[in-house]
Amino acid sequence: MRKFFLICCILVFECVLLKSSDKTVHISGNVYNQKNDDISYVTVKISDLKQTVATNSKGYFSFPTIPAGKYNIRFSHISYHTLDTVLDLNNNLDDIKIVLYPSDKKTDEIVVTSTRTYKHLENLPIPADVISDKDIENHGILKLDGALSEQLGLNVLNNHGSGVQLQGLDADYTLILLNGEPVAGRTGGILDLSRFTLGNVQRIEVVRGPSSSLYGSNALAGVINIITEKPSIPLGLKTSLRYGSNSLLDLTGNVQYTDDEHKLGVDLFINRYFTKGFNLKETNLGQTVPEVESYTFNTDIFYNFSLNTNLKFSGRVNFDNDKNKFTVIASGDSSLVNTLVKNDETNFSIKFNHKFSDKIDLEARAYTTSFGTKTNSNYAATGEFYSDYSFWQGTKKMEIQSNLYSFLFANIITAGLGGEIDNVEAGQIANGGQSANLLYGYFQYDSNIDSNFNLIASIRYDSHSDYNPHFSPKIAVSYNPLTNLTLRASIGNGFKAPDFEQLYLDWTNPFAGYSVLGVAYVEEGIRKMNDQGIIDTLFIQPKNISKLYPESSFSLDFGFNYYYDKYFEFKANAFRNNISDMIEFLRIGIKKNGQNLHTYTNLNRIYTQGIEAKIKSELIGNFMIEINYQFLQTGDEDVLDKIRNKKIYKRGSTGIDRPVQEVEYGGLFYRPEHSGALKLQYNWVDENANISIRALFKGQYGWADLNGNGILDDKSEYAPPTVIWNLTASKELFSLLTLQLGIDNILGYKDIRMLSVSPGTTFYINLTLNLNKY
Amino acid sequence: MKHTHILILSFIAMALVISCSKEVTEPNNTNTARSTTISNLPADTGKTGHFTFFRLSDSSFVELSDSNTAKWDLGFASTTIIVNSGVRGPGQGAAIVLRQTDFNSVTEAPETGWVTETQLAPPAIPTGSDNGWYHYDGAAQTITAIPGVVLLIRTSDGKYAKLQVISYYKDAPQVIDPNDKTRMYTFRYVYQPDGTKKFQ
Repeated sequence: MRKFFLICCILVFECVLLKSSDKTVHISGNVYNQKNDDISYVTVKISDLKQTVATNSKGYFSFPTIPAGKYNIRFSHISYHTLDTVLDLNNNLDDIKIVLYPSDKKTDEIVVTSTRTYKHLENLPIPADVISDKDIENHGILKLDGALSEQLGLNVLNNHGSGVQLQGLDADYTLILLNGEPVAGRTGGILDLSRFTLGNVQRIEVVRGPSSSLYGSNALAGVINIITEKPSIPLGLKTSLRYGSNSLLDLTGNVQYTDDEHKLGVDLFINRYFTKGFNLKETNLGQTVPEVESYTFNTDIFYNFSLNTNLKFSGRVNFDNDKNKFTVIASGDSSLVNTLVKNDETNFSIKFNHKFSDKIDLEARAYTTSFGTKTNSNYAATGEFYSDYSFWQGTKKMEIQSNLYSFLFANIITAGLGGEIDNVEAGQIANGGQSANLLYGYFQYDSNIDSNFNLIASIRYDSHSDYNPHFSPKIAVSYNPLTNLTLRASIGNGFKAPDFEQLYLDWTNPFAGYSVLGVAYVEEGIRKMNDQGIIDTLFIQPKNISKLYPESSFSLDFGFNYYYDKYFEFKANAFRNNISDMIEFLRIGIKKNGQNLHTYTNLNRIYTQGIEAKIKSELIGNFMIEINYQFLQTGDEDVLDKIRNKKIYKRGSTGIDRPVQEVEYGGLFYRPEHSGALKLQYNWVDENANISIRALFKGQYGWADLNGNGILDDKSEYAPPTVIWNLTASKELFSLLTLQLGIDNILGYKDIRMLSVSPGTTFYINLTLNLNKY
Repeated sequence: MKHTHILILSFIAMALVISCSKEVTEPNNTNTARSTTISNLPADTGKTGHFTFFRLSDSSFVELSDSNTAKWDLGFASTTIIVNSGVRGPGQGAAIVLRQTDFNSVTEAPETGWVTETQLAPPAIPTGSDNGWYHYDGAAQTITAIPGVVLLIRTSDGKYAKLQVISYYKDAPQVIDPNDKTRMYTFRYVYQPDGTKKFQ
């Protein structure tokens, strides 16, 4: 068969030669990509003549003398689709323009969060996503919560700040990293994502599924890593201004410098954000969302001692003031109280990296972070003191990590060792403050068993001063049956350490009068309360209250990535998380005032399971469409047990109290069964303009218990489904200036009861001056 | 070939999560003893710290000045409900909190388990969310009667009654707005005047 084909080719070849032996012509032209950039090193081959040339740095190629005739010409380049064309050359042909389209994404996205080493996104065994600076810019997003709310399977909720639910798990089960280091400062388990301005963010990586085997506590549902811009150009200046509804004024400035040898690079960033906030309820004196003024300073510096040795410094300081007011009613009189919340946050890291050879490198990291918040409330009329509150927390951490390459059948073997000291100071913490320490080690084996099969196994051990130690293993595999298709599966364990409150709280609710004691403090706390004679009954003796275990998960995940070149991307993922040893309130007694005395215990078991899917397509020219969807089911195993044992009642439609039936149970609160987003974007490449519209859909979800049994089991307890449409339009002017107009929540959806943080429709205008090109 | 892979995967994934749903069955309404319903009983709406006293036998209010007599059976102040005995009054009052039952199916009060007011706090009917008759929900900021809870009351003069709190809000709204007026009890009860513990 092959021989026959060869003969045919030779025959054709000879015919061509015979036909056009007398006349010669020349042909030349340029090769560009979609954006009109020249492409160098494109191989241009006239196979009929066995002649090959390559384009120069201007994308120019030429064949000075070839016999006239009809030829098949092939243009090929590793990063682009190969283009075959037939040219009938009877005359000279100059200045032909060839446009090549980028080939599949293999060369694009590199992620670091999933494995703590650099890996290609598309055939990674662990589900991950990247939000690029381009997406952030095109969608007109200022803060991290805005960026995450448009992503697959991420549900941003507002309660003690904006937190993100991932795979149906609460915000405290997702680890937030800044340049790979954990950020401090959670209130009620939630790290307020609106603290992070995105003006200097290069990309955000989202890893789904447990990653405790590398990162330790809180990396149970996943990891979100904010990666700030690294200096890369000789000199650049970028500044932007945004003005919008509710007196929003956001100013950013960014300066970059790198020397000629690329030895030293410096990036400085500053941001000021202000909004007057808003009030949804006319009758309320206080505001639904307070007035906020915040500042962020960020710097990234690198210094390369040599090709193999470098030092990186990254520092961020963020502080904000929130102003609000509320009324207090005491003995029939109501008075206005002004309240001021001051938050401050710092993150500093130094990384020293040395490559000993192609086989081994080593990185040493030092990191310190702190978060403090202070609330002061004073009577508006008299200025007299009403109440105050302060909380401060800090972590100091040292870590070394080494990577061994091509060793023991592995691509990369990664091992790390570290320790940290955590401090907390707050009025409600026992003795006004506590300190704890943690030691840990992790190990990862990453092997390509054959070219289509990748195995990553990792394990981490955490030993803490105040809770039981924990091992977190994980195994992930991927297989490529086709070049564009990757199947993946993983199984792993994640954990969440007891937080400071669960360990050391010593707090009595000033209004209701109930008390909560942390487990590490409960013996001492009860002794003190007994001395004061305020305990009525104890159900459990404090010595019988056991030391806490970290909350622990068992997670399964499988899915696939499918790419059809750059035009079509389809990813889907099915997951199941079982969490056991959930730390819950444990009622241990009744106080003399009739109120409860609580501590914490490892009690509940919950599960979440579902499917995440994303389709992204650029099939038609400059039109981009993305659809993402999440199906989610959740439940509390202990509630299910109680329902099965007929321990939970409800008032049925006939007015009779009866046991809740299993089919009525709606799982955990705040989990929409269906959620997703539709994103459309159109680019006018020649005009340097684009328009983007996004619809964010959230199906009905359990909002609160309204029928007194504490669980989600009634239709009235669900919040209605919502769709929120956001629109942005951008246009580049004079190639330095970008003008953007945006409308958030076009249809003006607001719900005072359940969606209190949306003020309805808001508008903004954004101007960015970018001098990075010069 | 490519498409078959995706199809198979999608189907496996779908099969994993599709669960069959069943119908909810409601028990039949078996009406038994006629009950008395009291609406909008104010329970210290002025936040003065005083109880509103109530007599079950004739469904009447008792003056605050009679707080130290055996004329009343129940006292209401915010979420606290007291009976007339011990530190609260000279009567024979006592209570039992029954759980996981229905008002109609409670046909007889038990012999034992009666709690009297031996101290100011906690009272015979425990206070605090989920301890006694109510549940406080932090998200909705509402106080709701726990379904399946029935209060058995021994009156000041040693008679028996069963009682069920229906609402803590004015006019017993179906859907509570946290701004609705609170401390306005709606409850129903069956009083047995013959001194037996039977409610049939």
